[in-house]
Formats: sequence, C-alpha cells, structure tokens
Amino acid sequence: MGAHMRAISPALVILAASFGACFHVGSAQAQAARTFVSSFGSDANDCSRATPCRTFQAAHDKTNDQGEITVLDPGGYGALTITKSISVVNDGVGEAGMLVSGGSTGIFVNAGGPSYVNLRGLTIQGIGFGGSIGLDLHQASFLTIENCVIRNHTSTGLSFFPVSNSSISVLNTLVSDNGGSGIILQSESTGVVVKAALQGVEIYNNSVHGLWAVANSPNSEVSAVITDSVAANNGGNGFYASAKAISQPNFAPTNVWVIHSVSANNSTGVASDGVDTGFLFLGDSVVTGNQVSWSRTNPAILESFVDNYIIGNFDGDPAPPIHIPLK
Amino acid sequence: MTRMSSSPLFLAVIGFCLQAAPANAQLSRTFVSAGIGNDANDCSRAAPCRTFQAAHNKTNAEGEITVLDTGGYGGLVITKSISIVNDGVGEASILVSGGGTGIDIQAGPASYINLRGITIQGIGFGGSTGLLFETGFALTMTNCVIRNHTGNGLQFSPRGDSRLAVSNTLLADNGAHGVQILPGNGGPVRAVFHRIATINNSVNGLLVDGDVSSGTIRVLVTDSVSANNGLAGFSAGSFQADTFLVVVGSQSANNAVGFAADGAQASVVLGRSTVAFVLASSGGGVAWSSTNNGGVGSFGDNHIFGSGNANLFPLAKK
Repeated sequence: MGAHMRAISPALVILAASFGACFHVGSAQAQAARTFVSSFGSDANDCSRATPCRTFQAAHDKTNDQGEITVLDPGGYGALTITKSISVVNDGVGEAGMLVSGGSTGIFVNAGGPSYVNLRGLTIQGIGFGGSIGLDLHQASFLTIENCVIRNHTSTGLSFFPVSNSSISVLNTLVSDNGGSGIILQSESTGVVVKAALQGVEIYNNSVHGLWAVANSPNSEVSAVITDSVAANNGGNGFYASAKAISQPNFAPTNVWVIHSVSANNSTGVASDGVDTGFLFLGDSVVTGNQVSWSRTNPAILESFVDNYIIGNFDGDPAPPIHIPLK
Repeated sequence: MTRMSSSPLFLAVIGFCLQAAPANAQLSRTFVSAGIGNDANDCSRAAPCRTFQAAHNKTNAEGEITVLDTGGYGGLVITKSISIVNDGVGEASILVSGGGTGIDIQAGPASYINLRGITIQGIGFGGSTGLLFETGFALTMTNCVIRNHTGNGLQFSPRGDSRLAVSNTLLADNGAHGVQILPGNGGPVRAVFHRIATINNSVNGLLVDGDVSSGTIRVLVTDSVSANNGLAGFSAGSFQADTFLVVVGSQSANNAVGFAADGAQASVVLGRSTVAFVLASSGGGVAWSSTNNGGVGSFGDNHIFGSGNANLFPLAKK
C-alpha cells in the first residue's frame, strides 16, 4: 500500500488512508450488523449508511449473522440467497423489488442451524423470460414474511419445502397471478415438522391451488393455521390439505385450519386428501362461487364448526360431512 | 398470449436498439418520478419517465412500473400484463376530466394487471370515469383510491372470462356507482372485494349487473363498508346471467336501500353484517328490496334495522 500512496498529495491523504484501511482488512470481508442498500449504491462499498450497497446479495454477504439489511430508497435489488439469520427490511420507503426470470428463484432461503429469517416490505415479481419461483424455503428454523407481494411467477409464489423443522409466519401479504400454486407447504425429509401461521394473506388468481399443505415424508407433519385470509379466483383448490404419504408406512398428517377466512371463485373451495392423514377444519368462513364447495377424498377428514357461509357455489352448497362443536 | 402479441413490438424495439438508441430499449422494471422524470428518458432508475403512459409503453409485458416520488402521473391505457406500484412514497395520482377515463384496461385475454397505491381522482371539467376494465384476464388492486368522478368509480365490464380482486381500497364521491360490475356478452366473471369502502356515491355503492352477460357472475364482499350512497349499498340486478352477490362481515349504512336484488336471475345474500340508516323522519331508507323476483337471503346472524318489501330467504350456516 505504501508504494501506491507515496505520491499522493496531502489533500488526498485522509481519503487514501481510509481506502488503505479497507484494503488491509479486505473490504469484501468486513461485516456489519446493519447494512444498507440503495438504488444508487455500489456493491464495491461496505454497505454502510454513507456508502450503501446496490444489491441484497452483496449486503447479505457483508452482514453479520443476526444482522439487518435496511432499504434506503425505491428500486430493484436483485435475487437473493439467504444463508444465515438475517432481517431484510423495507419499512415504507417505496417499492423494494426484485424481478425474477430465467427459471430462477427470487429468494432462496438456505440457512442451516438455528436460524431466524425476517422479510418485510419486499416485492418479488416474475417477468416471464424462462419463468421463476417467488420464494423457496429450503431450510431455516424460523421464517417470517410480512407486508410482501409475491406475484406473476410461472411456478409457485411461496414454496416452503424445508428439509428440517421450520416455523413459518406469513402476515399481510399478497400472493397472486402465479402459474403454479400461490403457497405450498411441504415437509421434505423424514420426521420434519412444518408449522405455519398465516394472517391477512390474500391469495388471488393463481393457476393451481391457493394454499396447498402436504406432509410428504414418513413421520413428518405439516400444520397450517389460516385466519383473516382470502383465497380467490385460483384455478385449483382454495385451501388444500393433502397427505401424499398415503402409501407411506408411517403416519404423516397434514392439518389445515381455515378460520374467519374466504375461499371464493376457485375450482374447489376447500379440500382434504389422504386416508386419515389429511385434515381440514373450517370455521366462520365464506365458501362461495366455487365450482365445488368442498371435496374430501381417499377419504380424508374435513370438519366444519357449522358456522360457515357456504353459498353460491355451483354444486348446490352441500354441508361438510363432519361437525365439531365450538367451545 | 400477451407475450406473443407484444413480441413483434419487442423485437422491433430490439432491432432499433441495435442500430442506434438504447433510450428506446424496453425494460422489465421502469420508474416514474414527478420530481425529475422526463418522458424522453428510458424510464430507468437514473433517468425515470414523467408519466405512467410513457413508462407503460417502455415496459416489457409482465414488467413493473415503480413510483419514485409524490405527484401526478396522468391517465393511461393498459394493453398488457403489468404491475404499477406505489409502495408508500407519497401520493401517486391521476387527475381525470374532459370525459376521460383514469385507467382504461384493454389488455389481451391472458393478461394479469396489478395496481397498488394509486389515487384516481376526478376533477369535473367535462367529467370522468375512474377505472374501466374492458379486456384482460385478471385485475388485482390494493391500497387504491378512486373518487370524485362524474361517472363510475370502478367499472368492470370485461368482454371475456375475467377475474377481479380489490382490497383495502376506497371508492367514494362518484356521480354514478362506486363499483359497477357489468360484464359484456362474454365468459364468466368472478370478483372479490376485501376491506373496501364505497361511500357517498350518487347511485349504488356496489352494483352487479348481469343483464347483458351470458356467463355466470359471482361476487363476494367481505369486511367492507358501503355507506351514504344515493341508492343501494349492495345491489345485484339481472334478467339474464346467473348473478350472485354474497356480502359477509360488512356494513351497509345510511343508504336509501341497504341491499337490493332486481330480476329473477339476481340474488343477494347477507351474513354477519350490519344494515342501518337514519330514521324515516330524517330521510329514512329501507333495509332491503326485492323487485322482479330478485332473491334476497339472510343467514339470520345480521344486525338489520328496519325491514324490506319481501321475505328474506333463510339460509343456514354449515
């Protein structure tokens, strides 16, 4: 460094020295607990407030485990692979988006070990050109998604396929216009437990199912509790609990609770599938405008609290077969 | 389908771009700014456009327009799959007059359109309609405001198989209906309204009209308010298409009619909702109205003040 700095005028010494300091520790290696991204940032920066980065990925890579990336202004910030506990936050500065194409995934979550991942105020938009998946959860102990929009992907909007136990929360989020299902929750390894809570989620115009939960591996379990949410105008089932493990020797239940929610204008309103393994519970909800109000195959369990508004479907609005009392 | 129809344009633009001007290349993400935008720009982040229409025209099908700052961005005609997003940078508005339409959607039959955070305001001077949907597959609107038009706020009149989803949106102070769903003679229409408010419109808050449609029509309203409108809060009318309007968890307040069905092909049903209005001596109203054998139904769990001119068909929860 000294050789490079020798000829520099005194006026530039401070600036040069600060660059020098960076080179000494290696700028790509420096990490901060809080990093920043801006449309006018540069990924060669250290992602500080004064010198923000340009992309989520660069900021992620320069953020400490358990740190936070803060969005500074509206713009596109590119796709992201998450490998640690981190929070990515756009708290109302304008759209913080990413456009996804070429068969890729907007956000791929692959955080091993005990990991907490938090996403707020992000827009993940597919733009065709080879297709895309919105978000794919491979592993994270805890994932929280709030105030996000995931739309227009050729495949699934939110694809939760964890290979280890995972607790997932989705709040006040729009999942629409995807060519696959809006949301899929699926246990991907033996014994994996997937626990999901959804509140204020709007799932519109997806070509396959609105929300599809499936325990797919022996001894695994998938549980999804859905309140104040809407699945409408989807090509398949609005809310769907299925257990592909029907042929598996080991019990692998899928439980879906649809409470104070809406399933409207889908092919089938709510559905359960799998011998004694698919469970769907329906309470205080509206089921309307569907070709079929509900379906129950193989035969799975579909239970009603007898307080649902099932009307205006195209199958004569039959009552669900099993009742459970309110308490 | 949209992709196919737009690809010749895209190729033409690429060709032109190779010859000379990168400023004419289309982007998948474009930007508009009222502060520093110029429609001669390429609508990139560094060189944003000034109007929605210029940005739309310079955006690839399936792309997105991002609003950068507060201001007016002008009316537009949408002809492809696109998303227009104002995610909290301040008001992104369209002022409409001279008999114009704020946003006119004339997209291909496989197009998905998404609008977020847009204000469409009428300013008189020859009148206006807020948003008119003519063709396209699906429209999703969230966090929008459509108000003060002389015509309808939101008019959904597709000529084919189309879907509508509207949430967290205000439709107020319009000279006709807050929302009018009036499909043309095409395929089925499906619509969902979640947390909307239709307020102070001169005719109906929300009207579903199946008189010129041949497909079935299904409309659901939840967690919404229709108040202080000149005629009905929630209304369905049809002598032709099978038309069903379901209202749950909502209120119809201080309208001339709480909810109304007109014609044997129209039904309106209410659940877990409130219907109320001022006393007759102060203008009054009726809770519900059935004309020409329109169906009115209730799940028996509504808070309804007053009565109507027909028996409510009793519906059981299941």
